[in-house]
Amino acid sequence: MYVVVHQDGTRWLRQATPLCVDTVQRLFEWIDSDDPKVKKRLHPDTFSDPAEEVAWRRLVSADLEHLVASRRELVEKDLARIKADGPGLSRFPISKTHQHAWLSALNAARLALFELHGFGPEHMDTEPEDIDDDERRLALVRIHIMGFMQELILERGEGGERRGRA
Amino acid sequence: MAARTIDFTASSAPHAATKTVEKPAVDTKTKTQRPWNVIVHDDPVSLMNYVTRVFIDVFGYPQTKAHKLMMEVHTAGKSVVWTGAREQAETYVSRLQSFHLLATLEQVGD
Repeated sequence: MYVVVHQDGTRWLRQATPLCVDTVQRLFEWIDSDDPKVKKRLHPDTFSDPAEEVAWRRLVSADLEHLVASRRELVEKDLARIKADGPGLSRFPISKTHQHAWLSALNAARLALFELHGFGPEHMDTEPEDIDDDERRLALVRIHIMGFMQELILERGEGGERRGRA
Repeated sequence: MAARTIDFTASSAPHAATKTVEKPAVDTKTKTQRPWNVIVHDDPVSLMNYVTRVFIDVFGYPQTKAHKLMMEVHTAGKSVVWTGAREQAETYVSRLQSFHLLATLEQVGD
């Protein structure tokens, strides 16, 4: 997979593998998980005082939900433009104005997978090959793929391309 | 923002019946006047570049300051990334949380 940045600032992720495409298409499946650990991490406490916390959630939860929903729409708009890009590979855009939405969704999905599979800090420096369980190994690969995508989005170049392994 | 209750218990007035004159507390501000810290806590998943970028976008910090704060989060486990009035602090923390950073609010002096 590599990225090509067009003049309008859109980043096209080119020659994405089936695993990469499957990963981005399932972002919201993990973010929407009912797992208590995921919910706790994606909606953490803000105040140490329980009464303050209740008031805070009443105050901001609707606005936050609205923001997350609108960002989701932006990501889904880009995902609807996935196209074939060579044998078995795909390309899809990350529009310039959708970058925040993508960054946030990718981070949320990484956090969700981290919690769903019971990873600890030590696993973030572990090679996936060193994990015995197939499902957990695949989850760690997906976390790294999404991290690589974040790096591609964060690069500020206005044109050109960058290649990388994912 | 919701109306906040004012804590009137923080008065530092000396007791009238005592002979000794007590100095008022050094911090004479009421609880509601004290500023609030926006604190970001480390997590093992969010990328360093990502955290830096969020600091730039949320606070408008220059790259060097955003990077310094991110490194403080990473090495010390947390960092006070902004201090000021409660309402603005709440806006900042909600924006940080919308990017899924571990952000909390704490009143200075608590």
